[in-house]
Amino acid sequence: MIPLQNAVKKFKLNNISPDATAAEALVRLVEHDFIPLLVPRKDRTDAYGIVTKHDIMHKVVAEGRDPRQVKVSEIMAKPLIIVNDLAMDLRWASKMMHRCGIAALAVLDKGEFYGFITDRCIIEEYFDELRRDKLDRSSGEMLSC
Amino acid sequence: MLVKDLELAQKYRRLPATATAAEAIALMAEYHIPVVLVEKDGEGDTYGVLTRRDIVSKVIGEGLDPTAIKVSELASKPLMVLNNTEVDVLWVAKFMARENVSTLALFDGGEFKGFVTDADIMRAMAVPLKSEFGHHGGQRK
Repeated sequence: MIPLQNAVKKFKLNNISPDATAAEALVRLVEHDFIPLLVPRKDRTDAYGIVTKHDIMHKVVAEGRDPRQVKVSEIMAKPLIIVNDLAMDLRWASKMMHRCGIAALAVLDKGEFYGFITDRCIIEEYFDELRRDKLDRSSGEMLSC
Repeated sequence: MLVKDLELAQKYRRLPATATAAEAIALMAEYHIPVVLVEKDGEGDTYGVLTRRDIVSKVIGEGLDPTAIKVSELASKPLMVLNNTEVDVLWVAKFMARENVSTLALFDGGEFKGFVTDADIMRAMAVPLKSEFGHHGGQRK
């Protein structure tokens, strides 16, 4: 079992204003290795939004629109699909992403934004776990002999 | 911009059809790659493609043991193929959006060239915009 908290990458979060253009979002995504961009909320009653690679590809590039003419507020997904239990097994986060058909799941802690979970951090965290398992087992064997 | 001008970032890696999901996880995590090519399993079989999403939804999400599942059971087969390198990337983006995939196999005259991903298209599009919005250009608040 891997708690969700381990997989939430503490990457520097990238915020983007809802009034910025899709061109700016595109450049930011490319520069930051396609980590989703967070659209911050105005106050506590507002919801967070998100812009991913998928939003830009489907709503701007594939439609043949000029990214300079499109605003982030037109393409972002809002409100976020969230989980707020940091101790939950990563398996359920994976299942939820699949069920909702999303690439990034937002994690909230006590009502504040905590981080995103993506396919990439799940795979990499899972790999670390497999490797730790292997190490534990091999060191156990060494101790026993 | 045409497909042949795209720079393919993925140095693609391949796995035999009999490899396990655990091997695929190791390959993806170590090299930070989103897709792996799955080789043919004998005559009459086709190549397949395995993405991170396949592993996350079909193995981890179901709570299965990755060392007990073969990649041939998880991979998408056959490949979505793009064999005209003289088209504009706009059409590639439309194709991806319509088929809801992020990775296409690029062939040039019967020869496998690599995978075209949506990230490649976005990187190419970002080049002319970088001077306006990038870190080294005019930074906007």
